[in-house]
Amino acid sequence: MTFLTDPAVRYWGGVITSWSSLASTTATFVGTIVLLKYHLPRIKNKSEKPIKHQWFYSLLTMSIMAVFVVTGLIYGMTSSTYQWLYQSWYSPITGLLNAVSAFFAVSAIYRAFRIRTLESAMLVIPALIILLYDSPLGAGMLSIFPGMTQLAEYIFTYTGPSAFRGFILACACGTMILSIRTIFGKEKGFLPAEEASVPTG
Amino acid sequence: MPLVVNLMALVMLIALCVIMIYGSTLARKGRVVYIRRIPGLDAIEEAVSSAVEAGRPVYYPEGAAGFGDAWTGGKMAALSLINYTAGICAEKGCKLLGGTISSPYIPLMDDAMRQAYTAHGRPELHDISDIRWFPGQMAYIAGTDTIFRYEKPAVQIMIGSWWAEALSFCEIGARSGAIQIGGTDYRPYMPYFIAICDYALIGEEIFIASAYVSKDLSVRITVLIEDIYKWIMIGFTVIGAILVISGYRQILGWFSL
Repeated sequence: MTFLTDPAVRYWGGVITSWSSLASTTATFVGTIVLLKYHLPRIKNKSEKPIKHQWFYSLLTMSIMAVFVVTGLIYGMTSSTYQWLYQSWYSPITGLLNAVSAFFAVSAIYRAFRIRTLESAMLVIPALIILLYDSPLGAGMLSIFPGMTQLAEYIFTYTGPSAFRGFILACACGTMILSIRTIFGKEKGFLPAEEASVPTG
Repeated sequence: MPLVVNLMALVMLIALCVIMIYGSTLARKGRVVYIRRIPGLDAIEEAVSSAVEAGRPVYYPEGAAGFGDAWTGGKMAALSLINYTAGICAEKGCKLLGGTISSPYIPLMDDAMRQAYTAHGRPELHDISDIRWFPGQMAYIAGTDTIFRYEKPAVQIMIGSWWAEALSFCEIGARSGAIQIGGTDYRPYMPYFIAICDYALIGEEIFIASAYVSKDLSVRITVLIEDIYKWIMIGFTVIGAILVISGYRQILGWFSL
């Protein structure tokens, strides 16, 4: 479809691509079954595992899911009722979780910025220079030391992108080989279980 | 209007297929390919053993990258590794938990795990409810935190296509003291894995994982094919750079998609 300009080829390419949404929708049912299989026994058995009052949380999850499904089926996903549910329930929770994950990020950055090996030092030193270079106050601090701003610009413009392009090239080759391997029927790592063995190198 | 657009891309794709056929011929002749050790993949067995000793499960979340777009390659590679990890878990009698954001991935993940457990005679160790579905990126982070808090996996394997959730996953795993093996083909999040995980697979290493763990010569030889193709690409890059520096900028148009 990307290579050929023929309208018929493009049309059928579009049709076949649209089939994927059918597969996705069907798979959502599988996801729902997974959720039901996880939560229903916990509700039925009034489970206190893995956490206290687990059955109640499971019941809450299933109830919210039912509310969304029923509202969506009756009023449609574009209706104001469904949108109200989405904007008033789902969006605030997502926003809250996003905000909480910021603390994870800060803690992770602290963990990442500890110099333990030569490799981590090579990661941290340019990262600190770029961090200062890219922030208003930091840029002022960096300009006190002669040549540091130019060094930061050099890292930002040449060193980083050069490494990235090597990475992208290698990943692109890897993706293509994997795709071709799949088309030729060679990518069967997830099919024959007898191959699930320890590599001999 | 030309019949074929992106002519160079098509030529490169055909060239790749030709190299692939050549590689298959070499494999049929018994050509053995040496693949250098990849510590991250070798460490999976060791990590599962430590999980068995601790009596705790192994957690394999796959990244939140899309399924059915440019990131499908990473997800397919992850599927092979899920099968491989499940095989080791089955051998050692360990529970493997899976995590996904993408519902179409659930049956694939379930199948990969079920086949591995069944082949090793331990189908009772796997249930579809061991695969946790979190239909949202933030829910995925929160759910993983819950898994680590209450089910306490000893190992977290994060090899696949990862987006912004990667850092939070690494942090959650690191806080709980789990052994972490990570790798992604998405450039901006690769440094997190390198900085935080115990073992990291860099870029293309995740794509050769299935070939690495396979004993099939025709699969292993694809690593050699990839290297040949990569050298061709490097050759094009060098020639292109020389031509552009020399003033032949029109060559850039040949490769634009």
